[in-house]
Amino acid sequence: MPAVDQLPLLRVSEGGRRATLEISAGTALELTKHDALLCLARERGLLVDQQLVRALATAATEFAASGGSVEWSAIVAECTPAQHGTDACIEWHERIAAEIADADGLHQEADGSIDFRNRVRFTKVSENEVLGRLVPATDGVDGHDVCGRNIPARRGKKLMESVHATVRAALDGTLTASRDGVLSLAKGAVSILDEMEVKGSVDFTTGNIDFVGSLRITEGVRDNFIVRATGDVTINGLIEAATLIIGGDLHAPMGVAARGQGAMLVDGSLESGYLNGLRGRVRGDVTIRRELIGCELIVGGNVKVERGPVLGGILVCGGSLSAESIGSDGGAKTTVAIGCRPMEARRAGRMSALAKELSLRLPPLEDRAFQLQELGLNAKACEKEEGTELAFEMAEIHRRVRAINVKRRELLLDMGLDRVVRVEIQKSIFRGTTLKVGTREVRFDTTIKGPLVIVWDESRELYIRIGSGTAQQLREVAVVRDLAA
Amino acid sequence: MKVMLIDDSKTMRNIQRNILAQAGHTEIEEACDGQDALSKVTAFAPELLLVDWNMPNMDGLTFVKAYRAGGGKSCVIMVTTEAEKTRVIEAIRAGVNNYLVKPFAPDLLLTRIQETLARAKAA
Repeated sequence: MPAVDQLPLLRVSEGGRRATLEISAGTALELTKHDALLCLARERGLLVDQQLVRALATAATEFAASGGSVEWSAIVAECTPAQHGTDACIEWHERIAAEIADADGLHQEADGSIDFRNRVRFTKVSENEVLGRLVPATDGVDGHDVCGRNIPARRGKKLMESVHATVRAALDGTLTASRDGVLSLAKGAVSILDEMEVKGSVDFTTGNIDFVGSLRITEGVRDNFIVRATGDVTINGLIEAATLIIGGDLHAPMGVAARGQGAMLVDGSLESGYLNGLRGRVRGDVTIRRELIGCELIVGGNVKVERGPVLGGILVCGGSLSAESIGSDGGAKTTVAIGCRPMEARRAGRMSALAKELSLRLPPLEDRAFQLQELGLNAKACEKEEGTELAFEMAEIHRRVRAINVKRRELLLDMGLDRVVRVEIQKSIFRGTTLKVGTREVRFDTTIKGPLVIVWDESRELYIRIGSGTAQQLREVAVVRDLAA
Repeated sequence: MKVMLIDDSKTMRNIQRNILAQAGHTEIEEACDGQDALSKVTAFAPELLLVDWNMPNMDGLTFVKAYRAGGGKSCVIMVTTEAEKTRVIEAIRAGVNNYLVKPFAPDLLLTRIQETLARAKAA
């Protein structure tokens, strides 16, 4: 009988990852035969598969070949590891993938220069644009240890719950944007935002902003940056000499310090703490909490400066004007145009220019048509076809010019009917102030203390009421000139 | 009203389509030659056909003859550069209801259409 320590030894590593056979020198050969080793493996609880059978056969043969005089050791079984499932992911469309991967978002211009303000930090997408493909999670394949015990595979994490309603997922996994906006991957969810928040200021970290939808900027906008948005915009910090093109309302409680360089186009209304040196156009109403200083501003609606003056610059106001004062003690030149419809006037002007441009296309067409007409019966078939095309083109131009002129006349009529003159001043209109009302210019050479109201009557005669006094003609307190005369 | 435009020139079809659209006719089918028109005319069932004379594959006259032979009863206006009297008579004999010689002004096309439809209605 051999000693116990002479028995072949099967060691199973922790977790059953591998089994090692060790045969000491001098072990009896009958104990190392293939069958004996198989019995030993079964006793140790190993999974007997082809790999193990082959490994034990090799061990038996090699140990026998050495005459049992050499120690023998080898790994005879290894576990089959679990193949873990892969998490669901999105294979982004080429354009979007490039923008997501492009960490600094900078682009070289055609001339090789780089505009550091023009970085793309937000991936804009259009309605129905293909964003990418959702690659589904896989379950993986379970493995087993050398004893045949199951090693469970980790299942891949699904992503379907993370696709927001603003993104359509087709059965084949194709993701399509349901609306225009900015792609958001916040909190692991894929969504299209139509309201974006810029945390901080618009500066070199964000680049220019161009957004389809509403926008909230938690701080300000720095010099020379551009903010475009189709919806409403709220800017909580100071707007410096930047360019803002806003499709909706602009709410800027801190104010605008444009210093004569910033520009603004607002399709809705504007509310601001103050405006300084701003050039721009606001289609709706303007409400300023404090002062409006040195601006060149065209406003389609009413202007209300709650607790400050309109000081310096030019203000064109389509509706009423209400302010603490106009001008300054020092006689700052301040011009206010009222009783006009600046937006409509611009539109009428554009219409007039378009009608003129269209009409200019007619003479060469008429000349060619006349040439073809002269050919009479000698005209070739292609020339007759050309004659029809010319006749159609000319008729189209006439039709468009007629339609434009009709619309322009209606617009001008509306402008005449809708004009408003109402200026309410709580404190003073200072000397140096000029009011323009249609073709009339009202110059204030002396300061008039308020509260006062300037209006016009049905016959468009200008009146002023100072304090609780009776209304008097404006020409009694200011110089009124009719520029048309 | 359903109108079929049969002309090998896309430009001419566009012009006719625009003129008709301005007159409120938007149900329009186009064909680029007589053969194309024959393949579409039964399914579309137009009330009026504007047919060019000179076209590849099958000319307008052959199309009108085939259309009438097949029992087509809708009004046909030949819109063509062929202005000779013999050609006009040939077209009328083939079954054309009215005739418009190119070049024509948009108003004239609409007048011809109204005339043709009024005559067909009266008959």
